[in-house]
Amino acid sequence: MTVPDSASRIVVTGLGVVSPLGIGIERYHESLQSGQNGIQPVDVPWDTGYEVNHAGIVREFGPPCFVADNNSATGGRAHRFAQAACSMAIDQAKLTAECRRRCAVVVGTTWGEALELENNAQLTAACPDRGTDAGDVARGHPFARLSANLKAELGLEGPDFVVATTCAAGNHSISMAVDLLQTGTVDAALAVGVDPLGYLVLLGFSRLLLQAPDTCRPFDLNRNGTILAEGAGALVLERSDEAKRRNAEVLAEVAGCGLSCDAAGTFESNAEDVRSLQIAAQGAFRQAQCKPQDIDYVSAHGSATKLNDRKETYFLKSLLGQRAYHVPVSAIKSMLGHAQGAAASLEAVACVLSLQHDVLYPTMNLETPDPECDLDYVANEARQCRVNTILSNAFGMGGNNAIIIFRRWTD
Amino acid sequence: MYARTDQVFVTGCAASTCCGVGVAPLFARFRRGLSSDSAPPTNPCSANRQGFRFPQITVDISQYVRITRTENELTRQLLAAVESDLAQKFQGLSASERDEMGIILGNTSGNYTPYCQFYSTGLNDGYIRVNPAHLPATLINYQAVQLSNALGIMGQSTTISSGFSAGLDAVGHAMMRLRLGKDRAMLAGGIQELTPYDHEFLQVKQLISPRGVIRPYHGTRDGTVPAEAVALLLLERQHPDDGQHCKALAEVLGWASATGGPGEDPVARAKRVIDGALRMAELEAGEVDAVFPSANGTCAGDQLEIYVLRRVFGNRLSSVAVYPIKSVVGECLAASGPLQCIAAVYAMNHGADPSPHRVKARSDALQPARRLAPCIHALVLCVGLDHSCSAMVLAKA
Repeated sequence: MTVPDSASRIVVTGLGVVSPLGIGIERYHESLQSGQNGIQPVDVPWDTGYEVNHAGIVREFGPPCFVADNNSATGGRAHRFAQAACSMAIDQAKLTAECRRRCAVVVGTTWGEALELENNAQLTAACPDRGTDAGDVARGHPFARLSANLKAELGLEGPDFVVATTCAAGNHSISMAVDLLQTGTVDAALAVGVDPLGYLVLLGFSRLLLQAPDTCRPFDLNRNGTILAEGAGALVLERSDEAKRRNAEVLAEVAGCGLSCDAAGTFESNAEDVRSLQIAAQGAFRQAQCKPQDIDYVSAHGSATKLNDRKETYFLKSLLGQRAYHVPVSAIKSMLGHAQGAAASLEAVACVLSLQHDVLYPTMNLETPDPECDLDYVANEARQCRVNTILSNAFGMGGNNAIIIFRRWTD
Repeated sequence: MYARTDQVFVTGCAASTCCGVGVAPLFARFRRGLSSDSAPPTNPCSANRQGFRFPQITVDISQYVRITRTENELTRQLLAAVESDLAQKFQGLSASERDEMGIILGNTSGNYTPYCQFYSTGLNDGYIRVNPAHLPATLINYQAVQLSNALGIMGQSTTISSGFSAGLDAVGHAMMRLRLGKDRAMLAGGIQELTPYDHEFLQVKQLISPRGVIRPYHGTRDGTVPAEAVALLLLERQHPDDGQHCKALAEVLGWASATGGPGEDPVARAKRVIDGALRMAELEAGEVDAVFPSANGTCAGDQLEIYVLRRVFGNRLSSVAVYPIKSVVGECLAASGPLQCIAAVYAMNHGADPSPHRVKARSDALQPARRLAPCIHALVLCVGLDHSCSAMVLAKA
């Protein structure tokens, strides 16, 4: 395996997490390692098809406020998650004022401030002449303003963007941040994934029969869908020469990023058609200058739907060949739920923690093996194991695929 | 730095504007000349959509193969533009070439209308009345994915926002990926549906012209005219060692972008962005002979832009050609920047069209210009009304 010259290697120097398993890196790591369950019943004021709704909620920020209130602080739940995660990541990276002047912010999300959009729709339905009030206008659009407001609050001065590729958005934000760093546009970049839980996504997933009643069981024979969640994950990325110059602690390397689109109708996927996933993987391997045989651990998308899990298993077998049966695969959505645009970022943080702590996080609730999903999924118990190169998969609704390769840092 | 830096060329353009579907009606309108005092053409705003008036785009879906009746308006406009202007480019592409192509679009507001409809149906009519097949159309990235599906493009399919300059930023991101050798070609640009957020942002800030006329830089300007549009550039990369293999309309040399809060000096920010784009292009301001500015007819926006241009060009400003295209297409927010790029590409390939102007030395008004230098290096500038700012440098190929 060869690696690019040091000037173009991208490294992780800071992490931040706001999740249903806790806020902060240490708590997140301990919760994942001990297989805790972040999914709980949640009050939803309208019908979703379930008597009791379950979701992965960030308890520390209170429950999501689905019902509109003119005075409510619902505007900004995504911002508050992202701001907390980014502050942690910046503190860990010890970004100086000079770094912040040339630091970008890239935020991956599905709809941005979804609760605010929904609340506005409720208020407008109740009073059609209401229009958008000056306060809403001053805050800016619930989608576009996420990155600009974060940047202003954190004192960063580089470019900022929001990228909206649903469940793959977290990995897309990492890929865009890498592009900005490799072209020398910026010297540091915050790659963030964030989404709050809204009623529309619960409604949509339930109607599509993608939402399970109470448990997320990736790769289990009796799996019947995912459980939606919310949260934020943030990573500070830098070029390795910059990190070295600052004497920053390097946590891991972002070795390669690969993106693709299925280019098929949203509902026309089949388990054996993995060509688009292979295109994304090839892109990642090309950048990382490594081969599939270098992969020794997989962070799966593992959304626990019948089709996706079969498809992902088929993809890993096509990629790794017979080695697939010996490469461990973890699906941490089994504990967190599916945090939509934040999911891939939360999984990216977990990948870096795996490299740091030499641990493979478990796939929980895997009780009945599925003959069509017959790989080593690190079932139900974490495993101490030193790995070097991790493949992190994220597959979004509509066919957006983003694959990141994380590598143990060696100078 | 990353070892490989390829050249990036514009090899095609596509647009849907209030002038019509495709670049042909837009270029025909350019040939009639830009004016510093005109109203964008309107299929007269007799049909109010979402409760406000704006110049609309009409798409006759029977004319297009790839558009179905179930598509929403914005998707129809996008697919119609691509089918009108780029169908031939895609016909001969192999599967491997499509695998190496990507799409990146800029959009300020997402798919607001389908989002609200889906949500309201669930809220008002009940869970069981919601059609689950409508969920994908609520996604912000829906149009990019539909374009991938229609063209069989299997590279990335992404939508970004950085506010009103999102479209130009999408082109900038595409340029970066091509320079790094990560994709072979990219379709990049902006798409804009006028949502209540956008329209009321402009209204609350009193940025809409009561007379429905755009007068860029004019002393009596009184606001802008918001409009919808779709504008795309087809970008392809070429390594200097490979020899030229694509018919280039222009080369993309540099790009920079920033957003800021109301407290930051906007002139300094815009100057910083322009300097960044010129630095990436390895050009000095003195080598720029044409500017395609925002010039949207708002009092504050135009004033800011003139200050910035004077700081960048100094006394030379009156000899730089200025093309105020929003007097033709309206203020198209995320689609504006790519439309300005398309105008730059047109000017580079069609001599003096579309009628350049220049800034008068004593006042800041525009006047039609004669005998200006041909457009070799163009600066495209988006100074957004929401504090976003983006600049791009193009060169004649």
